[in-house]
Amino acid sequence: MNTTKMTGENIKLQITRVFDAPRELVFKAWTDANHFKQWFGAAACDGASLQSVKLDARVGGKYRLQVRRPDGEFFTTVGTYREVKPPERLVFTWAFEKDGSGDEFGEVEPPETLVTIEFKAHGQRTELILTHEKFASAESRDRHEQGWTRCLGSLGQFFGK
Amino acid sequence: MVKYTENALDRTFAALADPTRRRILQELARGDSCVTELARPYAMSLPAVSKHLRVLESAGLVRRCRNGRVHRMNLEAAPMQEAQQWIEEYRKFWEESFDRLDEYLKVLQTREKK
Repeated sequence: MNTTKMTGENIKLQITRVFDAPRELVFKAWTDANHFKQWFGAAACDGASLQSVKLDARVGGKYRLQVRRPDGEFFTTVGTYREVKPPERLVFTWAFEKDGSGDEFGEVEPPETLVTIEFKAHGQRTELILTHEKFASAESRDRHEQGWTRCLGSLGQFFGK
Repeated sequence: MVKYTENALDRTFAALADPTRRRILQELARGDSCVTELARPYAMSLPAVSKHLRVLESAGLVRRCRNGRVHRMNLEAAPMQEAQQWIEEYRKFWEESFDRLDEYLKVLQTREKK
């Protein structure tokens, strides 16, 4: 159940997944560093390992996820929590550090993107909706929203995808 | 994960924000075209079409080939692919993280029951 939406304002990736666990627990898995580091992303980065996790899940609080790849390069993600509403909603910014190899927060490399997570309770199960958005420039932000998935689809065919 | 240059992506998305420009790209996806051919379906003046084409050109989405007075336009694939790649990389990243989260939640709950 995935949708990819590109609009006049931004590009948006949305993924929905149902977890067989109560909402409070799923929310905790995102906001408690000890839980978070057990599952977050490391395996997805081709043998990379999660070196350190800093996480302060309060509005205005910051997080830092330091991932080290086998070739020695660091992919360190940092961001600020914009909304923290247990156990239903979590919004945070997402960007990479320029260097990322240090132990403390470092200089961030644009662009900054935005992640919104909604947790919906279905009895003892939880529906999680993740939206990851990349905003276009201020110039295009003024324009009306225009879906162009169809256009992208036909262009995709053209590119032999 | 790949890191992207902000400006290049911004230009791509800004250029794609306009419905007329998206239609022009669809038109070009069928094959090269010249400026007058592109103007025809929209009952648009040549300067208006030229303006849209300049935006698409500066975003690197189309390329202009001059043959005497006739300007032929064709599609440039790289920027669109970069946008698609951004989405696909993150889709893969989050899906794989969710697989692990799913596993972890199972382990966690089994542990709690014991």
